[in-house]
Amino acid sequence: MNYQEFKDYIVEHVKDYLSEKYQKANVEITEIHKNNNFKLDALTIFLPEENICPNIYMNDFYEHYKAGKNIEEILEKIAELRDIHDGQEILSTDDLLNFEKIKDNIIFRVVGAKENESRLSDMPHRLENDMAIIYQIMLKKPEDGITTVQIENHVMNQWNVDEKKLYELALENTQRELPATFLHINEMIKEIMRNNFMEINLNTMSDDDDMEPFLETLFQEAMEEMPEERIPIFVLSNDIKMNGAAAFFYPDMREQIARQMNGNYFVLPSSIHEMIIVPDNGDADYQELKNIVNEINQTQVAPHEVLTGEVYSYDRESKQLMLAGEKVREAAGKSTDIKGSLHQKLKEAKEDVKKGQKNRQPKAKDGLDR
Amino acid sequence: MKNIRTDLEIRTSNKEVLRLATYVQKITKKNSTDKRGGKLV
Repeated sequence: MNYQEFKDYIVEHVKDYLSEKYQKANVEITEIHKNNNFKLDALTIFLPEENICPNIYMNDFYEHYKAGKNIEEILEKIAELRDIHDGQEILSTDDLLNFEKIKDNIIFRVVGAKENESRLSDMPHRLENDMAIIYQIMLKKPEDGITTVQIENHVMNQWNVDEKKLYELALENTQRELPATFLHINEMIKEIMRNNFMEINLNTMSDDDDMEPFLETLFQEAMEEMPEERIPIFVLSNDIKMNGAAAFFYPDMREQIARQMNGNYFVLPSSIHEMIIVPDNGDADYQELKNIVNEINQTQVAPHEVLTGEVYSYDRESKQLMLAGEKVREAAGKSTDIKGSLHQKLKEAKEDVKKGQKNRQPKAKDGLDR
Repeated sequence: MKNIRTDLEIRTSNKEVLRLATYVQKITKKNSTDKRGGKLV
């Protein structure tokens, strides 16, 4: 099946995998503008009596299908997701307008400011360098995903609050609901693989499961293939590894990282889900790091999950985060100023000497200075 | 009020692992081939 045929098949057959209550539902797929203005195809299964429903994105499912996953398994998964993420259980439209009821669920995430310029005009946000903090209502946080509603200006206005209020609430809620994790990159890879090894979560397997020892051995063998060398590369994210780049903006986080790294560091925006932290020992070439970020953005990150193509530098002394390029230019400027000032002094000194010689010339007719 | 579409995002672990492993590989490679004889990180 090509992608269009796949989508048509899903729309036509998904009800066969859903319970009785969904048989009168309206099933459709529509195009949704996501982060970085990238479009995804969202399946919605709206019940006639309800006005809230999750977008279930088809693009990744088609990738699974192309990789050999059975279409029946995909339909089962979609039906399961629709049931688990039934927004009506948690939120009604009345709730959405009730700020007191919703305020503890307001969280923030971070996106690229330039790439989302037009979207940002419709939503409350604040800029941090070339990134933007935006706000969402988090409805559910199961193990494998997150359900949210984007907060737009019109909703904020109906609540009669301002962006500052959203920021204060989101700062508290986000670090409470999505606590930060900071791990060496090898440990991070191991943790993700452990949680999803061969699509089975080893951490939640029961001890009496016959397969457990076999899979654990297989997992350990796979881990032994990991490189031994521990280059200081760390990953900052959150407990669910989704939209974890926001953790960088938790209170005191930058300083905590500086203490851990014992000095200045570079921040590589590897995706909206995590930031990579490497030490800035003063002689690293930020341009090389920037090239790596851009290459991986193009080859390993879904377009709607790209954060930015920059590298940031945190200076422990000034407690400033800035674009690494700007920091280098600033440092070069200071160096030029110093050189310029020395050059000027030298020039003035030479002129003084010349003047002195000129003034003294008449005194010595033989040209010798006595 | 109009219908509300909630946004359901699902973790895709394979992509995460591949992305992070590529960072390790590229930084390790640059570290060992840095022309100035220093290390990238």
